[in-house]
Amino acid sequence: FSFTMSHPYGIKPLGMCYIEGNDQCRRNGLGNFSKLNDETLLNIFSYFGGKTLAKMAVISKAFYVFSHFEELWKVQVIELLTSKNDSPTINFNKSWRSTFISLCSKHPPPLHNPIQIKNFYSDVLYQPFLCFNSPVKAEYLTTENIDRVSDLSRDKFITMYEIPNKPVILTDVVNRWKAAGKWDEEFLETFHGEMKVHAGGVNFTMKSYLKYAEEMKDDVPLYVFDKKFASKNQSLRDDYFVPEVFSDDLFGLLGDERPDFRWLIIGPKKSGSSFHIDPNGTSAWNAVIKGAKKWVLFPPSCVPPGIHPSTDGLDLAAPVSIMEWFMNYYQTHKQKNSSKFKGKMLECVVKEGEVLFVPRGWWHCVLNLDFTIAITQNFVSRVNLSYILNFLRDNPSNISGLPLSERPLLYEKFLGELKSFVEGKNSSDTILRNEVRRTVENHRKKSKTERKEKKEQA
Amino acid sequence: YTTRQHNLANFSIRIISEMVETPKSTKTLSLVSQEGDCYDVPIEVAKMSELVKTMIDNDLEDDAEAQEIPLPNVRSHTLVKVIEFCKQNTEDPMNDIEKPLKSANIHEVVQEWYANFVQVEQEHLFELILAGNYMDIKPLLDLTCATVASMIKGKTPEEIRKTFNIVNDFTPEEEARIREENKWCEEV
Repeated sequence: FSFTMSHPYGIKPLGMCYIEGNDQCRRNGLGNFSKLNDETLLNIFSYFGGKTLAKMAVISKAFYVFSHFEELWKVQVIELLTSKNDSPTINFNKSWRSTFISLCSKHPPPLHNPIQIKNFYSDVLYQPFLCFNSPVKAEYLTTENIDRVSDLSRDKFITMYEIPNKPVILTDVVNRWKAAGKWDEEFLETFHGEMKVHAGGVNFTMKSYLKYAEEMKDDVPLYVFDKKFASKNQSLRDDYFVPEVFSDDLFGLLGDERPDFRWLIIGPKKSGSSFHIDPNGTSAWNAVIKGAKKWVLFPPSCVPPGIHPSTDGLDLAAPVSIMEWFMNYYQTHKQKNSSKFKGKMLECVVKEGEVLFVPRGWWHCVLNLDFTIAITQNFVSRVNLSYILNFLRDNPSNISGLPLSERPLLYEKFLGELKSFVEGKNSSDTILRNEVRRTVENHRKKSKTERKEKKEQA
Repeated sequence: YTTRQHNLANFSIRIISEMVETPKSTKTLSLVSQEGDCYDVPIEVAKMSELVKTMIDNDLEDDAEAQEIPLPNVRSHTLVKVIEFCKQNTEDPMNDIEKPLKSANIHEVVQEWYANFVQVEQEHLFELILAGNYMDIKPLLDLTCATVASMIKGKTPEEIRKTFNIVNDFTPEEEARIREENKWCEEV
């Protein structure tokens, strides 16, 4: 595998320094700063406002490349917009730096081609360029070891997949959605261009997001992950329906006070989500309407290689870019026969018209192989209810999708709603009612015994 | 390496460390500098360093001698300052320094003790950065980096080059190009 593209500024990876043997650019151009590592230099630069950051470019060639580092400008743009007003939208203009300048200047000057810098070596500054341009290798995509099924009944789904807590792909549901074959870039731009969408902590109009997706060169692209799409846009809401096998929705009993549960996902090629477990102990389904998603999954007991969760579960140390994970961990573990991950790692490419069931507690990472549009929902069903109740009871600080102040209240509130549901007068779905009643009773009994045991131990 | 008793110059540090309340553990660690000087530090203070945290032997008996933690990359005069910082940070945690810096005067962005703490020679400041990095003490790293940033903010390029021994390796044409591109900075 040879990587022959050259960085727009001429930056080379650190290893090349040993081959080419000339570190003068860094030594002279950084002066006293040359004894600090690149991450520290970026830390120092992170304290500058946009104008100071821009002015750094003229000091020396080494300062020039740091000053133009896109990641620093992304932060500047987001900072500037969030400080301006409540929900500003971004108008991306070819790069984060030029976007910032457009926001600050009435007559932004034409941006010159980058000055080529010879003999500047830095892994930190080279990395985003490498990740953005590294191809998704064919080897990453060959393994398919998740069941694909069609015509799956509710009962079969529950016994074969939901109870054993196993992933599965349904192939015959999404193609019955109105969205199938209808939603694409042109459709979104033409009919929903002015819709505000949320991506990575900032807002775009749909039209400006699509422009960003087209022009950007981020190694960790922003992608639309919008939890309000259905409530703000009835037309989009009408173009899909929840697959029947996933129709249990016990958090729905909480009405407006339920945690976030459904998202519109739109992202360019190589955007995606690095390893995580879905919130609140819930299960999820994820349907691809346009494009394709590569999935890697590990069962709840198995922390993926390269991932280091903190003991309290609130933090996660991991490669930020999914491509970095693939380049550094994926192949190593597939090749090693003794790898403890062998047999545990499940993979698939979910194509247009398919929907993946992501069982509760499973680690997963997702990579868009193309510009991709998808919808995902998280749910509490009769099958996973007891796990969610345990989660809410034991991990109130890990609850997400709700304002901070409401999190400690969720467990009791949810139990209350379940109680009302079980005692409810109307006769719809007595089977569900009985299952829920049984689960809640067992949960209460167990909680009581566990509390008693704890008291006796103390 | 050989261990030596810490010298008289550091006597005051020992007094302070014995006076500090030890809420969680009465254990101390003996941090050893590059030169071999030993500094007794309460374990809760030393744990501000993620590096030290990973090196602590939790199986040691409570009445055993203080565990020695070698820090060969940190010289004594820097380690003394680092320990001072960690102590202060356990008693009066440093405020987060807002980004971007609202002022080039470090006194206006962080508590007085910390602003005074970084009033040192440039070379020593850089050593504190390296120590903060090596020992993995985030607040120390943030404070020292912000301080350097404050030393840069507001200065002209020539002043910055002089202060930090930087060579201007641009051709006049290249420099003119960059200045042209930066014209927007001068807009009100």
